[in-house]
Amino acid sequence: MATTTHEKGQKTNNYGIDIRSTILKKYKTSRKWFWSGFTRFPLRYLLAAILLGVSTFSTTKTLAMVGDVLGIIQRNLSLKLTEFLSVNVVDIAAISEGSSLILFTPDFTRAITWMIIYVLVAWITLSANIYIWADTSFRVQRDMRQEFYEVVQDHSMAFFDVNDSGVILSMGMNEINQVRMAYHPAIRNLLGSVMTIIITTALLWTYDWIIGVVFLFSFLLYLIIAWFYAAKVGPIRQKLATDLGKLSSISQEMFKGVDVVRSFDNHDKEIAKFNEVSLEYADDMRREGYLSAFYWPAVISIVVTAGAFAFGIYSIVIGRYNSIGIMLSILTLLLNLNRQNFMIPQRLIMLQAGLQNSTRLWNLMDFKDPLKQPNNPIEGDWNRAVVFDKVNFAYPGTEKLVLRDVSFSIPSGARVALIGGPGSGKSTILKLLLRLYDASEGDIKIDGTNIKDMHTSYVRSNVTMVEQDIFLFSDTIRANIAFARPTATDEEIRIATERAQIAPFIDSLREGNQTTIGERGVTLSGGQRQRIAIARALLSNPSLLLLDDSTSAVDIKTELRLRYAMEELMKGRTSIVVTQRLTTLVSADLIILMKRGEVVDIGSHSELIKRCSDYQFMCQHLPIAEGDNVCSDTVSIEGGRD
Amino acid sequence: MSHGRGPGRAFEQDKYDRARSTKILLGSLWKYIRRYIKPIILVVSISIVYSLLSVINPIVIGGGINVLTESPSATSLLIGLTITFFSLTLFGWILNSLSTRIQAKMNAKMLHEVRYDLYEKLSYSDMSYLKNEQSGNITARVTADTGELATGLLLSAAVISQVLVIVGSFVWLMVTNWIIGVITLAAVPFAFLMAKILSFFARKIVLRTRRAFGVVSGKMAEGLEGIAVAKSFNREEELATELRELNYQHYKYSRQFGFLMMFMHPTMTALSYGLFIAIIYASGWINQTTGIPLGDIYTAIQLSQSFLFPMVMLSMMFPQLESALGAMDRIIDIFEAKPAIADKIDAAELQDVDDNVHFENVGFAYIDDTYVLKDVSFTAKAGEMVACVGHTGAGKTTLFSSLLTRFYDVNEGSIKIGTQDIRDVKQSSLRNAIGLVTQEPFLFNGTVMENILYGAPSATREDVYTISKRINADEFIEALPQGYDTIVVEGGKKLSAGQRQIITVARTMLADPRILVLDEATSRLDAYTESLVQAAQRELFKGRTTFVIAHRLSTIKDADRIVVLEQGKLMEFGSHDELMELDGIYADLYNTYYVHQGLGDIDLSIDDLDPETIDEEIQKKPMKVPTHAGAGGPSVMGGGTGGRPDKKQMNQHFKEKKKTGKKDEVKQMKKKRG
Repeated sequence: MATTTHEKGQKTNNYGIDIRSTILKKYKTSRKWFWSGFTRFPLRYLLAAILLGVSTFSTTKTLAMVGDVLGIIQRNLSLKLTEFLSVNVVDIAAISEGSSLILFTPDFTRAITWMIIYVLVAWITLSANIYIWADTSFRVQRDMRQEFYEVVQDHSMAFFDVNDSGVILSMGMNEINQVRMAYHPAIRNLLGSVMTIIITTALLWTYDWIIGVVFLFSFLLYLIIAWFYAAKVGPIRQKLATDLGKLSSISQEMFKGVDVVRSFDNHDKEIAKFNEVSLEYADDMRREGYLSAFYWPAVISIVVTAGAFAFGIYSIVIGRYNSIGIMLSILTLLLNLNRQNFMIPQRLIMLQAGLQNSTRLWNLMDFKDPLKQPNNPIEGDWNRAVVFDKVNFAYPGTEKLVLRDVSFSIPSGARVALIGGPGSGKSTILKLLLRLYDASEGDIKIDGTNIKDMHTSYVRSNVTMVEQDIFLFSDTIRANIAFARPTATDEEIRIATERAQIAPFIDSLREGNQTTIGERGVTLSGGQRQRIAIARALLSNPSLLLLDDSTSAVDIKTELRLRYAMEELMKGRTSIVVTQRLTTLVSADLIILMKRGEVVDIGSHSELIKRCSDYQFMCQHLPIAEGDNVCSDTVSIEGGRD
Repeated sequence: MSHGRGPGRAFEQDKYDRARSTKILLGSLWKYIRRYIKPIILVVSISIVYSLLSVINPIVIGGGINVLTESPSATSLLIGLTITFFSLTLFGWILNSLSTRIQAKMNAKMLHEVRYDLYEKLSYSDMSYLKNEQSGNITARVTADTGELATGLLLSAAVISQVLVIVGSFVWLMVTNWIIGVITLAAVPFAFLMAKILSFFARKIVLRTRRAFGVVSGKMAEGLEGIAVAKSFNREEELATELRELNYQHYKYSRQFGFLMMFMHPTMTALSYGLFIAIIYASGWINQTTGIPLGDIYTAIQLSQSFLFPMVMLSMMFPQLESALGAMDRIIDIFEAKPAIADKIDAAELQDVDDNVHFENVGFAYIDDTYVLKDVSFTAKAGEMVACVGHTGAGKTTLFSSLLTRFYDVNEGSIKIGTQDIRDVKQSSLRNAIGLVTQEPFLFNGTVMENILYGAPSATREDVYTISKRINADEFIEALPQGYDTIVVEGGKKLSAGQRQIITVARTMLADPRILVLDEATSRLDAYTESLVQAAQRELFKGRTTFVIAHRLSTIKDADRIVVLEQGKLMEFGSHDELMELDGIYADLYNTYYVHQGLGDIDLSIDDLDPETIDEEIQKKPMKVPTHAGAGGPSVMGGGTGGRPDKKQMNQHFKEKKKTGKKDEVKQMKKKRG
């Protein structure tokens, strides 16, 4: 059943396009990324903007006409019937029916008809505008979220080590929503407001140029001040969001660890911690309220409206206007603009929030990754020795070396056991071999080729790791196993599960390998998870296998199945196993003993047990069944550990 | 799938039926409102004045117009009108701002008070309540529900003024001219009908959109949590593709939402403008018969707006008010939840003269009659180490981690330390005396140092170094980037389970308890480290009463006594040699579970094994599946991952245990070996 290394052959990749650098190069700055919505869908936004213009014009025109119509009414009322008759050629019969015609003069009817038309046009164009704008903005949201995820996902583990995945998730979901809200409704409304201001100005101009000029300047002033106001509120809103996040993580932590809190009798301490943040939140909330309470840009528009009122009255008194309708039109338009007072500050804050969030998102996307893909990736023969040559390593962004001067050579096909205490650097070695990180100094070579010169996806298609804490997706068992190779056939999966000793268990499930695991499905035991991971690794059929098997199973059945599964997995390939299982140590071709980031000794079990005091000490401290005498040589050596 | 904060939870909330009437809810709210009665009266009065102002203002303008049309030369009156208009508007603005300010202060303070009380209440509530609820759910009570309540309170102030504006406007419209009043009223059914239709569709679409959002969020969460796996199998592109599809789905629903919204605003605008036209047109008719001043028509037009828009606002506010009441309902649930076990009034300090621990006929059920422990009696002598063995679900954890620590009270029998029943002792003194290391290593966000100091705040850094060195933890702690000052993030995601566990062991050892409960405290450690830790423990806790739930041979053999539990019953009690002699359950367990843990070849063939079943070995820890993110903030992940199987699950498990008859299985295996 076992495939040999030769049959397996080399795996190569046609490395997909580097999404991360493509996107980063395309937008360059967070500002460009934020505004990219418009360049993504220029025609749609243009169309929506034109529709918005038409609808704003129609709405504003309707309002302006209120004064016109009222003017007509007033004029008609003040006209004497006889004068009226001389001005209007009307049907005599109609007059006899009543005085209704006095009011419903053709210009009145025409104005009303126009108003109705304007209202209808406004209704249709505004509807179309909202729909197109909203739809396009949701597209922008969708695409930006996808870009964010793809770019972030592409960062090396150095990024995930320092960034809380909960925060990344919340940013990818909620902060992108905020960016969308900047587009829709914020920018749409602001654009509408600006258009209203411009069209109102133009209309005012036709009525009275003085008011038009005054108005234009005061509203420009208003907008500028409102922007600064929004800039003040924005940070507080951000702070409120962060505080809320803190509150929820504090309480979540406390409820998760409630038995620990209780057993140390530490309630008061936890409550005090919560209280502090809650007070901070309350204080910020109060500050925000205070700021929005005296929103004094509103005073500008109040002054302008009152001024227009006074000026209009004055104009009529001195006879500047020939109709009271003009004043009414001006007043209606201004009162309408006053209503925008509610909206403009809110929308400006939204826009600010969108801009700030896009910067935060961009900063995550623009992570300066210490791990770089080679410009001209080369490949190597994975069926040759794996060599560590004076490797030093410190996790990115830290100083402390966790590996110091590590050198060894692993011949092809060898079974290597890595052993050492916690923090000795065993798992770090595995991570370096997967090229999750690059060595800080020194080289890791395969067939003489430095893995830094290989593309990460090439390295990882030849190396597979089975971790200690196994991560399975909440999907079907089949999907989890096929994760290693989605194209695998049912037959291949079948073979993998059999070799991993998990097939009988899967068959016993009602839905077989289509059973969903995880929260929505069945819960698996640690041993079962481990064997599913082994099946997954079998399917990926790597040249180099990395296995972290630090804790051993407790009961005999699990232990037995696991031994068989591991045996199958290691067959016919180079393997490096972090282990303390004596059986594995004894049968290993090579044992590498690590201590505090350094290699203490390398050799077979029988060599090390004779010469290495650290190894002897460790073996003594491994659980040994009665009657076994593997470590009997060491019994006489006491205190071998320095 | 829908728990934790955020869309998932919000989705549940939509289906939420309140358990209490509005009256009762408002009654409970009164407790908080009462303290702010003065500002509330002030805010309400301001609201009344403000509403009046917004009705009066159009009337003033109308009056001005009337004066103008009749006698365009009454200059002094006109100046008066202008000034009145200006001061009224400005006054309105000041009043509004003032009320916003008062409300902001009041609301912030009240929110804090509710939150604090809620949190305190939760901290001291019954363990089983906290264990049964997902931690994410509880957190949502503290953060999201209180927030919703606060929004509701703010809104209710707005509701008052909106209603006043509606009433005021309508009254004045009727006073001005009843025909115009009636016309305005005719628009109301239209507005209501539309609001109804929209909310009907919106509800459905919003639900679907939220669910889609939750799914996208879940996918992204999983992708981020499993990033190392994705990377090592080169599966990033596939994950991105899957996300893209879900993302597209979410967009499709969002678009439907956009489609719906497309009607709302434009239609309302069109309706209000239609009302203008109708009023103007009607004024024409009215003029012919009775005559109506131009200013009044203008006032009517403006007032029709003050009438219609608040109406729409109200219809949008009611769902929010309703959800605030729902939030209040859930909050009261918590206030009424069973509190944690309280100290007796005459509770004494635990005396430190006698550390013998007596279990006397202990019986316990988490729920009703499902007893997980029955009639357990034995005595652990002071200074002895007692190991407890038994299959999963035998009641080991319950007996020591839950009952001895008094997280729960026994239903039958008693537990005594020395001569004192633990129910007669102050809980704080009991818990200071007992140290517990739980199965699941739990770390707090903070530095490693802070974590170890958690149980002994007065200890020095030197003490921490000493303890860590003794249990061999210093090696890996010092290898961390900032050594002891390395910050533990996300419960220690960069640490292995073993490393987390060793920190929790150090934490308990530093706290220096008299009695120690180790619940598989070293099960996550590698064998070598474990043996060092246990050696250190032996030395440090020499002479203290220690209870160990054991999983490894070495531990059991060190024990002075062994308690063998099966299905909640004490089956055997004695030293290793005694029990082996007895050749009962313990001997069985020993031979099948413990003895092989070394190099020993297993003389079983894989074919001899019975097929596994799903509950062969119950998971200690539910699989880590990410929950959906909520509104902002770290640690939204893992919101739903509870610490251990919940009660129901446990009981279910016990029941099944009875059926399958584990004992037979083991016996059978032994036969095969023999």
